[in-house]
Amino acid sequence: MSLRIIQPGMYSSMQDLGRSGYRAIGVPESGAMDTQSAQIANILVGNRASDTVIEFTHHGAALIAESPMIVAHCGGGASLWINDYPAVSGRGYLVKQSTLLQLKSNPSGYRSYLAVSGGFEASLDLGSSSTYTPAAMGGLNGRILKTGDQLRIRDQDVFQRVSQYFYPSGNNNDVKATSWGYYGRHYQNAASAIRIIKGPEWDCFTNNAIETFLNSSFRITTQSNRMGFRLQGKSLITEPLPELISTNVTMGTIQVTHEGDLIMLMADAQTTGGYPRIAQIASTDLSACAQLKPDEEIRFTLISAEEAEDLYLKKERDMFLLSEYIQMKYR
Amino acid sequence: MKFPEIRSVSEDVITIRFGDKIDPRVNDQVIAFHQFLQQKKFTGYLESVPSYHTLAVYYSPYAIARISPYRQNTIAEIVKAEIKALLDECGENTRLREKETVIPVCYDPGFAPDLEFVARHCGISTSEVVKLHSAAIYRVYFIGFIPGFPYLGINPDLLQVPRKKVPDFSVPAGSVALAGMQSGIYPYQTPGGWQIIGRTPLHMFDKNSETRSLLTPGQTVRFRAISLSEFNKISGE
Repeated sequence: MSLRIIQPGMYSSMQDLGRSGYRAIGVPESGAMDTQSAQIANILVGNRASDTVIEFTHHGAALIAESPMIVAHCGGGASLWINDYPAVSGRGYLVKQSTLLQLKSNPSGYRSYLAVSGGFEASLDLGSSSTYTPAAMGGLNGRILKTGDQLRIRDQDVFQRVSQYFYPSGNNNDVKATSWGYYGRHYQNAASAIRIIKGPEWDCFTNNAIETFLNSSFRITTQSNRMGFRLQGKSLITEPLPELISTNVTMGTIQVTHEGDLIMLMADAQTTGGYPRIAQIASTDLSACAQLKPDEEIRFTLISAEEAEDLYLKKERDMFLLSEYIQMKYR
Repeated sequence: MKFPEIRSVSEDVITIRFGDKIDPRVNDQVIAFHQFLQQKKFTGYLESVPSYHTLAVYYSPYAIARISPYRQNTIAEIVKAEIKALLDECGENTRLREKETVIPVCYDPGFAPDLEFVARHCGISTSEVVKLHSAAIYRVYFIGFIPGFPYLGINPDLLQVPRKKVPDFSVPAGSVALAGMQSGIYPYQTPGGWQIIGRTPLHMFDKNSETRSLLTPGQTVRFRAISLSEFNKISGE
């Protein structure tokens, strides 16, 4: 069972939920930028939430199913079309051999995930299949996907177990679907405010800088990728900041550069950094951040660490419950 | 400021700062507690990450929430209390002496695009730069930037140069470079802004080897100057 890439799209890579345990030797976490969409796509096709998926950036990718398979697509920036019929995000589809899967433009969001029943086969490096290109780890030989790549499915038993729950659906005779779907809004619209907590160097900034940070909007620049986003807005620096000794940073850390711009660290971010850390994005909003596209404007809202922790636990619990609930449907 | 200072960075990271400067004794405490935690592994502990003066501790809030459903405190407070107790238990526990690794470096001009600049900036000859650089003993303060990249210190006083204003688009793997008080070695081809004075034929990171990273935080490193032919010989092995 396999899928063939006929158009790779802008930047497509295989990811799971990341690589942990090796930060002390400089290995970043990597993994899906929008972990919630990646997990939901997996759960919908009967996989474990942590299975390997393809992460697409924006739209333009096209793939051919080289055997019957069950797919689900979740996230933003693109909508899945199956043999020229639009598919619904949040629903699993059983497609025939030679079916064309295309990712067509969707104005909302920027990154989306395709899961297949049984998960994709990928290089397992340091316990994770997540593609990290600087050190050629995970995915397909540690690189992004290109035309002609054949992506094999890891565990064929999942298809056998789950396919009995798929029925003819709507006016598209080429596909079968489940009688249910998941239509929850798991990430808020990115244009609204991103919730943050105070970073370790929050107190190093003047009241004016903090005021600017919390009351103006910032634009995502084109210098943005899986390592981090560079943001532009009113400068937060009125006087030189004290030189900082390189220290720990993590996904969601917001740093202020010497020019006063913001850098928001994402999945492939390095493990240490030397810019002052003004804030940390609440983990619950990281998926929304992954959906930000260049030129989009955002604002920040300060919440307490306690509130962020409650939201974190709620996010984990909600995903666990969703997973349990959908697993029952496949039993 | 009273050290160690314990604070939350995110919902799943707490940092412990042992001092406020680049100092081998402060870094000793970071490494000692890092090694102590790797053995102790409290409930929910995932990993810890050393830097110059700070240790970051990653934990699973969900794992802690599961074992303490009727808790009065936040998860972060529970972990901070745990870390505080472990710090007391670890005490002045001196870390195990780590090995010393000798890194062969070829300072041939073909591998050292910035050697001339460094020599000019420091007001010495290029051969004096090589001599100074390969005579010093360095400590691996931590590994960061990309897998296996060691932050080595402290460069001899005479050899302290600023980093480049505009980083190079692509630095070859194995490049040995200087920036301020630090030396570093690029394990992979990547953009980089340090002054490149040589190249090692060794692989700094091998994901399939047992230790992965050639160097580990806390150990010592020396550089040994090698000829181009020796470089080629080691590369060919």
